[in-house]
Amino acid sequence: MYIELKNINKSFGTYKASDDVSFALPAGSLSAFLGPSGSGKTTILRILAGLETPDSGDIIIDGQRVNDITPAKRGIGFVFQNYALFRYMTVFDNIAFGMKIKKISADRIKKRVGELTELIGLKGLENRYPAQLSGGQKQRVAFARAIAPEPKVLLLDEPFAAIDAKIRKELRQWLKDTIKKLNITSIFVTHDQDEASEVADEILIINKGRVEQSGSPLAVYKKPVTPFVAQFIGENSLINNYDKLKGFYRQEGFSTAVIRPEFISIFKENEQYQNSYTAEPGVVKTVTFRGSHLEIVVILHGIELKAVWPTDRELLISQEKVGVLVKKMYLIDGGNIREIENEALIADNSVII
Amino acid sequence: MSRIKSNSIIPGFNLSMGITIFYISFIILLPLISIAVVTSGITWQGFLDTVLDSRIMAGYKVSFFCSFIAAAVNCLFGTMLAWVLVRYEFPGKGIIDGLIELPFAIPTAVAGISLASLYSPTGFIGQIFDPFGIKIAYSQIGITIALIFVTIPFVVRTVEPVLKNMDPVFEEAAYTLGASRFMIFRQIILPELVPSLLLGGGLAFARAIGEYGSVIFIAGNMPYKSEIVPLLIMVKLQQFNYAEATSIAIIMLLFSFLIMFAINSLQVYQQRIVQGGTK
Amino acid sequence: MGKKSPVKYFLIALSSIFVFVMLIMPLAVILSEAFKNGFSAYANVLSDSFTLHALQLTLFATFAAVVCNTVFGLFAAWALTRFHYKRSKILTTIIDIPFAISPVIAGLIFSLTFGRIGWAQPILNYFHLKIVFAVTGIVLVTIFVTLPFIARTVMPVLHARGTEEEEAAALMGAGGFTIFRKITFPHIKWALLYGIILCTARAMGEFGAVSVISGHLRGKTDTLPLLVEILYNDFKMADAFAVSTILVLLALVLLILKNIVEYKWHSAKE
Repeated sequence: MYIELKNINKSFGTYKASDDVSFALPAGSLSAFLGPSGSGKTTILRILAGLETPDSGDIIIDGQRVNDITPAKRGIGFVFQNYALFRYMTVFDNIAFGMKIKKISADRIKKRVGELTELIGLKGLENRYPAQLSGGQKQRVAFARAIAPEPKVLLLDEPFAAIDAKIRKELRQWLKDTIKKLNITSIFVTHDQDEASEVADEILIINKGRVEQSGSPLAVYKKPVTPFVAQFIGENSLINNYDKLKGFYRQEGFSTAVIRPEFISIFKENEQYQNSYTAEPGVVKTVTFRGSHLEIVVILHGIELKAVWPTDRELLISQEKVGVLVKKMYLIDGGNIREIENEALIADNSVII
Repeated sequence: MSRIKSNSIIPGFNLSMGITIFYISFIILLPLISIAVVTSGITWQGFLDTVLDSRIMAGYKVSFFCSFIAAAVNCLFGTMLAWVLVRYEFPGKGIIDGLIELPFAIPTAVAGISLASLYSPTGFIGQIFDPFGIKIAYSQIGITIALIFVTIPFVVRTVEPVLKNMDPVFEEAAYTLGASRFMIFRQIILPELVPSLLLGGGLAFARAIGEYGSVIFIAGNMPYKSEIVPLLIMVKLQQFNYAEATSIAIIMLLFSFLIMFAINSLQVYQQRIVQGGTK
Repeated sequence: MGKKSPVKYFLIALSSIFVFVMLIMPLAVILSEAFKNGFSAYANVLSDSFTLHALQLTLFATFAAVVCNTVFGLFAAWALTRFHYKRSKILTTIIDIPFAISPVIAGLIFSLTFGRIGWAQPILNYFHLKIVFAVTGIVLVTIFVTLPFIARTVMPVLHARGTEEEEAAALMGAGGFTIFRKITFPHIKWALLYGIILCTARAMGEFGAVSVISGHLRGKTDTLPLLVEILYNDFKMADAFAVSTILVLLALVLLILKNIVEYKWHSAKE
């Protein structure tokens, strides 16, 4: 493994920012630390960079323990959340800064800056100052500045946080393609799960200073292993009285259920459908257009559930009576998670077979 | 060194912190400690006899009274100047703006002799008031005028940024609701200015209490009438009476630190307003 | 919004009168009094050896105070704004102390420390050093009263800017001096210059503190403001005002510089 953290602990006063963090990432991978704000994801990134010193634990990059190596010698490129571009330097000088420190010859610096401005699509703007650039352009300059000294590892702290929604989408794809092209081991921090799943090969879910789960975005989504991940990933409904739903029974110790929108099927009243015995009558509360689909909130036994409805089907309207079928759910308690299927549905299906 | 540690990767913590602590220890703390050293040689009774002496008490009264009036006058005129500088355009505005800091640039002794000659009974302004029996120089009026002069910039420069940053929306809203201009000023603008007025007035007051150079020439320094506290300390020092000088100074220091504490608290508040935290 | 002109013109007129009476007239009086006995008398006073010596001492003490406080101000601003150090607030408060206390008390505490009853006196005697009633003392109290200016004008600028740029540079391996010169300095240069101007103005005009510590040894420890006092108390009014004109000239130059720097600083922010 290329980057490895072993049992990292870090406290700020009484606040535990990193709690026994361990993980390993292969060379050339593009990973995301995903978690809510205050979860400690940025702290882990800063520990890797050497911007923070861990209280205990080992940081290993390329087989070498780097705890006692100064940040500058770790071979890390860092893209700051607000870019931290040097405001009194031109684009050229910003990108050239790291190389100048390394005493690289002026000719080579010029050539490399030329290549990089080409790569980031800012050729011709070398003499501009950061204040004269747009948000997206600043982001690219920060990226070019970080990779200019050819670091072994690239770390990006919330790289898209300060950019407009529209440009953000373009930039995500651009960043993913560029990092893959350069084949540099990279980690970025984000609180946006769409961003993490779209860009990263592997995501690490961080909560309260711990790594809750890691894996490919799809694997994490499909198989959450902790209560936090089950709740955090996806647009979920969180309910307590899950035993009111047909086919589910209260299980000892599990007080809460997490239901993903795609676990719920909704049928129009006049529709013919399978499992009609298991479906229960509910009422549509709200319908919200979400671009590619409709988000539906239905009420069933007084419980509000979020579901999706494709735009190409006959539209649902508020107060419409519908059939609702909950296929499965995650039950969670303090530390455990259990996936359970609708028992009535299992029975129903077996009858048909 | 003690276990002061920086966990930042920015270099220079030990060097810069070391120099900072050494410098302020040597220049500020070491001399200040001497107050305590000297005080330990003064008896409680001696201390009380000195500071409760009627001439000294009269000095405190003069210092506080004149400083307070000077600060109050500057609150009034400072607000007006700030208002005029922020809200109006007129020829000569640049000159007024540029001159506001003159009292900080002119040495206090120079200001002192200038004001003394201007307001003396034969002086340019003094001779206007003399026939009416009003003595400006060599009285508390003169002291107050000198203190007004040296503290002019404080209120203007603290009120100005607040007026500049004030969102015109509130005024416009009040205006559309039919409020008169005076009502708008009284009820919308003035409340917003209160913290900066207190801050500017406080800074002016603190400066005025300690002011020496500009006052002594115009004051006439008559015991019980126009002696300020810094002058009394100076008099004791010239008599090499260090114990009494220190006793008087302790009372002043206590007040200074009290005012400083109040100003610090106000400053935090003011900064929030100027930086536009409240919208 | 409609502006009612009478109020506007009344306020402008009142402000102009206030500025004229309180600021311009005192300034004018200095000039008119200085030339009361004719230009040659004025020239004589300025070329007097006591005047020249006082000017020299004033410039020297001012220069020393500005240099010391600039170096200190930069280090202090670096130490107190680039790092998260929990005692920074206390140190900042201590730096403010010279602003809070009377110059006379500033002089007093140096007398109490280094004067003839001062506890540091034996140490000074051992090294044959003299501080009170000597140039050293004048320089020291001048440093004391002007200590906060530069640190306290530079600090807010650095504070408001955050530390990310310096971190980014350090991460790329830049040393402390390089970071300061290339990254930090361009941000603070106008604030620094502004602080230096304020510090200079206050240092050259300091009267109360210097008065306590100098002992008024004419031709030895008299600065220009002290000389003004002596001449005035000797009823040599015209001479006192003549000497004052030197200080007024310096003050006006500083005031103009201050306004220029303020303007440049403001436009650099935009």
